[in-house]
Amino acid sequence: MRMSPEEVEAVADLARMNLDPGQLERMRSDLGEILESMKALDDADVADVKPLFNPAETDANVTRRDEVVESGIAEQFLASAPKREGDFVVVPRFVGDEEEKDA
Amino acid sequence: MTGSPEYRPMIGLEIHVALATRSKMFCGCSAEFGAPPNTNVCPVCLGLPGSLPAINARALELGIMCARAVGGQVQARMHFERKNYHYPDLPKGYQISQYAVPLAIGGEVVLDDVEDAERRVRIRRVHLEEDAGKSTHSAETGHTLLDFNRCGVPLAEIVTEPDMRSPGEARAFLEELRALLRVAGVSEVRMEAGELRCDVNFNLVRSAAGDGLEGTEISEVKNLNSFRSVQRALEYEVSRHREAIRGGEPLVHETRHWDEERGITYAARSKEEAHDYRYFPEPDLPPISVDPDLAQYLAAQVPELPRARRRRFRNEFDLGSYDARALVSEAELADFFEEAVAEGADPKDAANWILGEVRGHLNATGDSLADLPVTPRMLAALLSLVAAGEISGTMAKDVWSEAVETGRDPVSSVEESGLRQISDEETLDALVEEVIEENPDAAEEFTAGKEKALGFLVGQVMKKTRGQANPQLANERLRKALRNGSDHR
Ligand SMILES: [Zn+2]
Repeated sequence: MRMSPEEVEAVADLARMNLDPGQLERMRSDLGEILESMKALDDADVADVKPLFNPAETDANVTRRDEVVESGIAEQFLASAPKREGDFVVVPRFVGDEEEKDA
Repeated sequence: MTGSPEYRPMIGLEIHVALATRSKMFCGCSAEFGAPPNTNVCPVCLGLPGSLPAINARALELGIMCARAVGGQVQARMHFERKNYHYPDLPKGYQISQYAVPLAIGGEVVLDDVEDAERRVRIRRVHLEEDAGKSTHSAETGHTLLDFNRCGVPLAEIVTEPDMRSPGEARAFLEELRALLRVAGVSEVRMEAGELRCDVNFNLVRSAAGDGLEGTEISEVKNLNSFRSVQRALEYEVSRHREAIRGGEPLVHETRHWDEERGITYAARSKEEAHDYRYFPEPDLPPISVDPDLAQYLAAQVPELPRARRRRFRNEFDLGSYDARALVSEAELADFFEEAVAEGADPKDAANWILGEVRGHLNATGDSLADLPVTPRMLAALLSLVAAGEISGTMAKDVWSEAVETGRDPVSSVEESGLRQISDEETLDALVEEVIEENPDAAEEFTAGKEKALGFLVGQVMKKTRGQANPQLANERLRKALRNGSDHR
């Protein structure tokens, strides 16, 4: 079960990865092996099995109260950013759904 | 023109609304707006390895109330999913959202008074998700600045069916939705804080063979953050699509952005719309069961919705639709109104007073009604003095302003300052006699048919009473005295 080079490229694109031709071929072979081993699932008889969205199927809702807890890591976080400008983290320009105006 | 039917706009909306919680959706960071950049962050919302999300119970409750406010059917069992995409404003590399089983399915919002007809906008679904961080692009340095305070703030996404037929109708829907969400207490919907953002789906359609529709390819305009932008972007799209039809140019299904300054939409780069979100159930969060009792309890927490309240104001209090709409759009004004009426105020007088004096003051000062020391009972008492002719409208406004400033009961102000209008005929008749005697020329002129002279004489009565005479009554008594006088002559 081999993926086409185009499929591998599409997945790499979605993950924002640039693969050179050698890496792409290696990835293709690795992914092929993974898919091959997952094919074992196709043999399972699931005709009478209800869909399961989470292994922790439970009726006991696990939630937290709406309370503010300060993490205390804000300054540490900014200090560890590769690049910062004031209290902002600086990253290379990307075009997204957000406004594209100057600050 | 050919015989083929006209094209008309077909508009659907996706609305993201920030839920009024104290903390974020999956972590304890404050969800407050306006904190210094990157102060409300923690390992969970920054997506640091080893951190685990935990569902904010209040966000779930507010989501359920939001769904009920738009008439959605809350699902008994739901779960969260990962929506995978890579943007720097989303540190985990995925957004926790809902997909296969959303919070609620179905519903509708009815718009009345739109182009004099009732319009129904069906709701497809409501789901919960977390917001992304805020990115600011600096054209100057070529960099992007990131603030993660907003990352992880709980959102409800409301998706409509494409039921709106004009940009104005889309705007009317958003205004109604905002009123609904506010009344339901789901969100304060502060537009300036980005608490409501909207994506629009737009195309032009016309009926085709059979029961089908044919139309232009859909444009999706993303991330509009004011009702005005929604309307303007849609108006722009209407003309762009019409032009394409006229010119025979094919359009493509695409994502577009809105440029507020230039007033145009432009196509997103093709690469950034090449999304394939590869949703799968969020393994870090257990599924949620909504206890029917809880759902019912929360539904009961949703107060009377704006449309029902407007209708009741029109029927029960005989208000016009403008007054009903204006009062109901601000729940605190509507509450004040109802309480004043319950205290005996005439509904029409109370509506006028609240929409004039009270709203005017609030708009001018930015105060909320709860900040003011006046009560519905004070207003009811004041309005009954006016209705009985005991004080003039001008005096009422004066004592009301004083009440707003100091909390002093307007009725006692009237009593103590002797502002009470002189409305008894005997007292006024004596004054009227004096005025006629002192101003024989004016009296003569009036009896000779010069209507204007009466105004002067009324003014003299007002002057004698330092403004406390009931001007209408003074007018009446003067006329009577002058007519009698001329009869005697
Ligand atoms: Zn956090």
